Amino acid sequence: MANGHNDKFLDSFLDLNIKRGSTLFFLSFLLTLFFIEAMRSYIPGIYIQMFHVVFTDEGWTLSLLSLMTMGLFALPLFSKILSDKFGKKEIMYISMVVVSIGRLLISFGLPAIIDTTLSSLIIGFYGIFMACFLGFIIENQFNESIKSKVVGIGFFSFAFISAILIDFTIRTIGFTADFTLINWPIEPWYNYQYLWTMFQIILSAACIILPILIWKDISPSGDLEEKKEIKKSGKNFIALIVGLGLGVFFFLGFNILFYPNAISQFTGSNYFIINIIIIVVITLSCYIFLEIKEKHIGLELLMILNVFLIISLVIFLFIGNLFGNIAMLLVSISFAPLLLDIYILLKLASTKGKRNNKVRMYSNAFSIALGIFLLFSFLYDFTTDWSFIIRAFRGLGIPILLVSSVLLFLSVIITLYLLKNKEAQK
Amino acid sequence: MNINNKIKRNIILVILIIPLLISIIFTVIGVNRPIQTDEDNQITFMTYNIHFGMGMDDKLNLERLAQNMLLGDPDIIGLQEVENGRFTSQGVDMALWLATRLEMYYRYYPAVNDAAFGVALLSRYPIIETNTYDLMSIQLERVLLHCKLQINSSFNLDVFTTHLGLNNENQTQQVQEILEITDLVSGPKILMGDFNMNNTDPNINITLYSRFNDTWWEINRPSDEGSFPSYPGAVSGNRIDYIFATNYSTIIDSKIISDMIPSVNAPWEYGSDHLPVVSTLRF
Repeated sequence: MANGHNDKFLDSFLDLNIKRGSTLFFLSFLLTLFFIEAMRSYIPGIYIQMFHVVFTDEGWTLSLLSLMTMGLFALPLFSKILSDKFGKKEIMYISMVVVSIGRLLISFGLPAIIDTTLSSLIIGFYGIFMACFLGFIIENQFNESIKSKVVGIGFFSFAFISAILIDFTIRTIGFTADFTLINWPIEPWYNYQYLWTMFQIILSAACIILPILIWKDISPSGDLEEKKEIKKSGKNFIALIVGLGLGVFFFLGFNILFYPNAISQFTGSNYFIINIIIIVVITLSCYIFLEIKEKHIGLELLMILNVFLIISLVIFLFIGNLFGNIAMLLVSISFAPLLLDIYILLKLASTKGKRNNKVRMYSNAFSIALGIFLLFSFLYDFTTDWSFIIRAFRGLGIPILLVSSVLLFLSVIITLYLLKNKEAQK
Repeated sequence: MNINNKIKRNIILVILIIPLLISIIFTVIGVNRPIQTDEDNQITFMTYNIHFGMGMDDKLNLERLAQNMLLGDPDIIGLQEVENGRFTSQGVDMALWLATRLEMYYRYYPAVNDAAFGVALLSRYPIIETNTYDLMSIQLERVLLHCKLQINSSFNLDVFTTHLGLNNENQTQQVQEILEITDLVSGPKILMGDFNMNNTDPNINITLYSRFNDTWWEINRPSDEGSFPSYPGAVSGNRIDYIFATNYSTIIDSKIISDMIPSVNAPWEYGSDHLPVVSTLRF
């Protein structure tokens, strides 16, 4: 019986029904992978469309329309309304289908504007999926003997971290925009881009078919009666903190840290070595996450790890070029606390709110996260590459990164404080 | 823990190591550099503005760029608008990617914010010396990259690559600066890049022509074929990409590669908004 605190996460996961457990893991892992890939391609796509709009050439109206796809980032806010109206199970499934088909369509090499629009759809609907999935798993609606929310959060967090690991691996092999280190013997050469399509068809089909295998195991929607709130319990504040933490995590990750070339540029180090070290650290993080007992993830330990994280980021940002290899090592190792912070933030969101209301908590947090990601990404771009447009912004790129690092640190510290209070109340 | 769970546990832990092993294998595969020496001193040069890796369909596709370059079978390539690690270009180190793909040595020098709008030199010959220069610039910074290449044991070649600004006054100043730098080097020299001027501009047909030969013009005059934009077709007289040379023996051939895929005339066949210019010289 999985009770979370006294078991290693891996042992708790292995206690799950193998068919249900592996299906749930595979689905959450794959959909998160598609989300990560969409996040990587969305800002570059928007950047190109903005280029057409700003420098006003032919077709700029279509480019302007594609900029409005940012509005789809607000989709997760409607998770609760949609799930109340159509059923949480049904909405979760629809979001999985949209994400899977969106990712499949992107692999067919469609025009850039459609790719950008599909990326925003994937991101928006992933938010709905995540909110519903976490709602289900915390409220034990997957008919599992998960006695502890902790195991559910740990399960999803591990799927998230695994997806980051596989995304790095795929980029190293070269199936996205990163390295292709071998010449695939495909003729004519322009069919090379469809090599990934074959894999994507299988993966997308799996995401659509697999949920049907466990459909009846998921508790029907509306099973849980929403209890009237007795008093306001600070849910909005929690959503804000979690959203802030996730948002700056996305910003730092998808602008700098998830790109070994960016780290290489900051530190003057070798791309190949940085890439491998990061993959080693993420792999070790996976091992450690599986093997530790939740009760050993003490608040003091987490505090120390996050102090190490903020110091590493500051060294990396300000004197990375002076202490190249040291800064590179520090920032690579800081991936470990960074990934652990995902678990901590998701755990905080699970502690507040009445039953059947977790969907709203996670959907609000995710929408806030996406908003912060967009805000900081555009600020960073206008203070670096596009700083010639607004001269006053020149040179503010590093301060933006520093502010986001500090915000991440603060949000995690507040999270730890709130979790400690919660435990003290028990 | 029962035996079943123990086995599952070990399987999961082993599976976790697979991505790392795959990454190491693919990394090791790519880190080889062949050294080529050429005894007959016939070298093919290419200049190509790669537009941040974005083709005429607004898509980043470095393989497409590599294929466009391979059409000219170049030994030495000067690239402009090259990026490294920018998240707006999906974080790729383009010079490193292309050099690995084409099995060449490379040097990269950024113009903006250490990552953007830079120039790069790719070479099948070892690069034995590198110098970088920031040119006087209005708005976007412009740079010059100088590499000395070891063609063989008795012949070294100086190659310069650059990307000039759009402002006319700036262009005059930049050309002067470039000539002051290239004048410091004696012997055979190549100067190539995107000059943002056609050859009716005095900066080209008076100033630069006083020091260098325009290799394409020497072979193809009076053609007014253009190198920009690539699609829907290079505008006549809009040749803004050049390969200049001095102290060579003969120009074997020079051309602008304008048809990337025969029988296809679509934006997606072009890896950039410029066309590559190729010149083969004997020294």
